[in-house]
Amino acid sequence: MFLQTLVTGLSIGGIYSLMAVGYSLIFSILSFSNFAHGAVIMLGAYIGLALATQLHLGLGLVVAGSVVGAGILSVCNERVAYAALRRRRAPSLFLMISAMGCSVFLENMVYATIGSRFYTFPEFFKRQVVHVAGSSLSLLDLFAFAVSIGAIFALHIFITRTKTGIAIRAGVGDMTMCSLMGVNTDRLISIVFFLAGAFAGVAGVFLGIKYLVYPTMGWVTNKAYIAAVIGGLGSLPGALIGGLILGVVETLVSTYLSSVMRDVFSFTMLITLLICLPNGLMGLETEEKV
Amino acid sequence: MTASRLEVRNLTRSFGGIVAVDSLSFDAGGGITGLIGPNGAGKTTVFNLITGIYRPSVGTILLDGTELIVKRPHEVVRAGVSRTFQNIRLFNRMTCLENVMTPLLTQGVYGPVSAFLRTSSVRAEEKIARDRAFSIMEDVGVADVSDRQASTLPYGLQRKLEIARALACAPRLLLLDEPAAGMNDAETRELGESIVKVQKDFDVTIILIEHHINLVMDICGHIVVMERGALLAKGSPSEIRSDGRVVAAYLGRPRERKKRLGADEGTGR
Amino acid sequence: MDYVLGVVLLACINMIAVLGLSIFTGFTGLFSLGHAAFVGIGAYTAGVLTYHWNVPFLLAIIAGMAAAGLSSLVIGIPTLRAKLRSDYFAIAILGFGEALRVCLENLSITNGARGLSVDELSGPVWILGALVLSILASRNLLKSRFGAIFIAIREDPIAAEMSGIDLFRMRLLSLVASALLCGVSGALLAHRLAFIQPVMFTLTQSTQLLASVIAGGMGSISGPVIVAFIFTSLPEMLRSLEMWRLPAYGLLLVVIMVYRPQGLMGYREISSFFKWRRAK
Repeated sequence: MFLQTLVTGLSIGGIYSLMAVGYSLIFSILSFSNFAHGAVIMLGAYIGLALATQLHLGLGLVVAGSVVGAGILSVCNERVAYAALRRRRAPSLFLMISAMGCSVFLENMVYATIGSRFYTFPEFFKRQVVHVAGSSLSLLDLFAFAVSIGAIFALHIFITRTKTGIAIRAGVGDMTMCSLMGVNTDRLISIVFFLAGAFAGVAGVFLGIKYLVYPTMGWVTNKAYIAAVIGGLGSLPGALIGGLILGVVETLVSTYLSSVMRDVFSFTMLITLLICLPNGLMGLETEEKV
Repeated sequence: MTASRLEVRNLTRSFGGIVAVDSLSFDAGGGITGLIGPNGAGKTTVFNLITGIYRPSVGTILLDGTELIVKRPHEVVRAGVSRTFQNIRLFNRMTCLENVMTPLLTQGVYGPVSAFLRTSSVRAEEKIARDRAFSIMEDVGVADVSDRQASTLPYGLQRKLEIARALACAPRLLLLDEPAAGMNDAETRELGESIVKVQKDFDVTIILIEHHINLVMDICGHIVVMERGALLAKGSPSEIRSDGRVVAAYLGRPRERKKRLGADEGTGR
Repeated sequence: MDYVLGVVLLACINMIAVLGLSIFTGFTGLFSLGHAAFVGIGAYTAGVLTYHWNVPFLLAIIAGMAAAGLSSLVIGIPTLRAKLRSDYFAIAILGFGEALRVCLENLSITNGARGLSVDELSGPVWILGALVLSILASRNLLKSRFGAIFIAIREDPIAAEMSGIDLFRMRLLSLVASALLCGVSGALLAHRLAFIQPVMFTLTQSTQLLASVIAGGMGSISGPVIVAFIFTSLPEMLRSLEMWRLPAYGLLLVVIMVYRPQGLMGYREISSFFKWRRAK
């Protein structure tokens, strides 16, 4: 029973991590919380859904399509809603408001055009379960967990080993300096948004398979945001660890305490953590420069 | 009134593994004390430590015997310390007069309920603050622009306005962080005169961080030199000028210093 | 005529809440995704009092206001004391709103998610009276030293602190003042619609409040109040376009941030157009 709860928690946590990575990536380079990320994840799920139900593609192609689609969407989102603001160095409050606007717009456009119907993905996994140490674990959960960890690991390699990745990390340090050194910051930022969108695509498809596809499914991403904050915004390992911790704790709370109180518990945990540890578990100490 | 005395003892602060300020001890009292050293020596960090923006890892800071390091930033201000910033921080969308009035209004006594009702005491207090702010601006020489929005002022006046706002906090110790940065020689000389005047008029102890070495030598009675977070030397201008270590580390190689200014501006924004 | 009056009164109720958020976001520069929660607390406190105990309406309004103010202390003291980054604060207050919704849906005194039917007590006199009082009180507060302090905090928190401003207490004061107004708005809303439900006070409503403040202009009282009136009454008149209201709000936020971040009346008041023209 406990092991099963733990694995369910880890698999949910894996998806939280996938989504949290998007928040962290964008935060690390532009220092604001991209509240539109949830809407991109939701649209990723719809793209995947369309590919799966209209074109009857297999899981691999569905994920690939959703990755590309959500990635492009995320880049467009940046170009339309943030580029002008960051060029005139608007305060991050303005970027956040713009992000909030995007989120509201996209979510309700889907609501107004596609409708509030709940859709289900075709069954890629025939509810198969494997039995480990007396507890049954769903294959989907295991698969989602493995893919999440794999994708985050791949991203880590990309960021630390490739030339573009190193440019991104330099940008994290100092955007102005980076552009003075001849790095094309617009391109760099687009790459970061594409990566965040790609992760949103994967997360959207898994969320859609595990639960359902509907306009406000992006609400779950508030959890991912919490995960990113717990781990420390801007830190990739932080996003992973924050996601896993939140997933496990939540599943434990809803199994052993009350499922109604699950969300209240997550938010309380967030607030408590922020107060005790304002930079999250792995976040850098960010004191404002004077 | 005797001049206020600041005693810094064994002040240490590290960020991560880097020791930004290392067992620094110095005194400042009466007149103007210069705090100089190469970029990245930790001068601004010292100001941030004195004003409570950073907590020191070790050490004490006493103003006339009162411990400052246990206080939160606004309490330090109320204890009699105010400052300007290396990269000017004005309230941009306020007028100049409102900028200078803000510290005075902060010291006000009426509460939110009187504010809701806009009682006569509210208006009286505001009138006093307005008159006081105007007189400070006259002393510093920015009264002519009192109606202009702060962000529209030329650079030199913004620096002076910041000093006026700091004086409105009624400080006993005033910390000036590179007030002459970006000014030409004539402007610097004029600024030096107003700093000397302010020191006398307001009977305030001043610590001045500055790279215009001639200005420092002219107006400071006492100079503290820092290098890599630690104290390198302290003494009168003539002692500093003839100190071999200071000349080697800082004064003697102006060309290299300029080069460094461009390359490793570590303390600015 | 009754219909038009109804729309106008609803708009006036919204204007009070927007006024509240304007103090917090427009003047003090803090971002909130949870102010609808304070409206909800005001609505439920007043509603429960009149429904279960027949408390006089005026007392119920005051209680709703006080409850909203007190709850703002509950969320404000820990988060503002910790000087959270503004996005962290926004998410914390969002979480507070969610927690509140869950509680309202699971309490028996509030009749859970089904909602509570109360008496229709807010007539035009109550609503217009409350609006006028709210505007006067906010104007006076913002004209006073507290207004100057709020603006200083918005413009540069560190410089404000170095002017001797206690950031924590002043931000808290701004939050409490804004929550009080939201509470009044909620109490009036409950007894205008005669029906309240937990879903009426969620992120969607918080976004509408925020959209009004931003579109009206940061640092202005009259701008947000005018926009709140337009935002509430326009969709009511154009019922058939109801479903496009939220996408339009979202788009509006983005367009304003990109093209006109000062909003309709950024950092100015409507009265400044009628005053003598001052030389630049």
